[in-house]
Amino acid sequence: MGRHPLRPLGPDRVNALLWATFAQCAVITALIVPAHILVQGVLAPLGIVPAFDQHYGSFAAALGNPLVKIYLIVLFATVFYTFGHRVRYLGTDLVHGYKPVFGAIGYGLAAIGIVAAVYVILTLP
Amino acid sequence: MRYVLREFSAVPIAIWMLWFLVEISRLHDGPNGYHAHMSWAFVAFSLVCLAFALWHTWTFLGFSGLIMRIPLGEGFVPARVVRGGAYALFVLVTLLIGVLIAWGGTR
Repeated sequence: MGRHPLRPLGPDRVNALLWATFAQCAVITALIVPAHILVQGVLAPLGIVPAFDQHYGSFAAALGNPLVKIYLIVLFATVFYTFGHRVRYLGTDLVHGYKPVFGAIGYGLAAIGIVAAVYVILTLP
Repeated sequence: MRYVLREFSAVPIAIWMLWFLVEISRLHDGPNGYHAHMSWAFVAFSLVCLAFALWHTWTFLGFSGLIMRIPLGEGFVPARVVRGGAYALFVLVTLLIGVLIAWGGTR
């Protein structure tokens, strides 16, 4: 017998679910994140356009809206999950034979990030 | 190399979002303790992250023509049309989100 335990026959549903979730999260990240970085990180600091996070009043008012909170939680969750999944496979491909370790690191960091985002956003006044 | 860059793009994107989360958490300090980042260093950091984010967008949406098989008559919608639609959607979403972020700053 080989060194690896045999997996039961049949579809690998857990991996399929992880990949399907990654596909959705990566698409959302691809569509939405560049706009945030461009406006909040480049154009607004250069004074070209205003942004909701430039002043306490507008930032707090925006974060006071439940729809904005839901939007941001979904955004953080998708970005951190995409990060975790890619860390898993990038680490696995660069350092062969440690797939469970990189899975734990990637998904673990993603879970910490998502929990932190939910906590920070939901505890705002 | 392209593969490694594509996979690595998730790291700077996550770091930028982590900065955004820290900025949100600073709202707890109240109006006197909150200051937005306006420095050139922050702009440079954001430009690097933006380059990786656009690389992720370009490569991932580039797959859409291969992954999405949309039936059309006896065949499928051509891959380049699906890919073009995905990029057009990206431009539309970027404009929409950008306008909403800027509009939030005027209130």
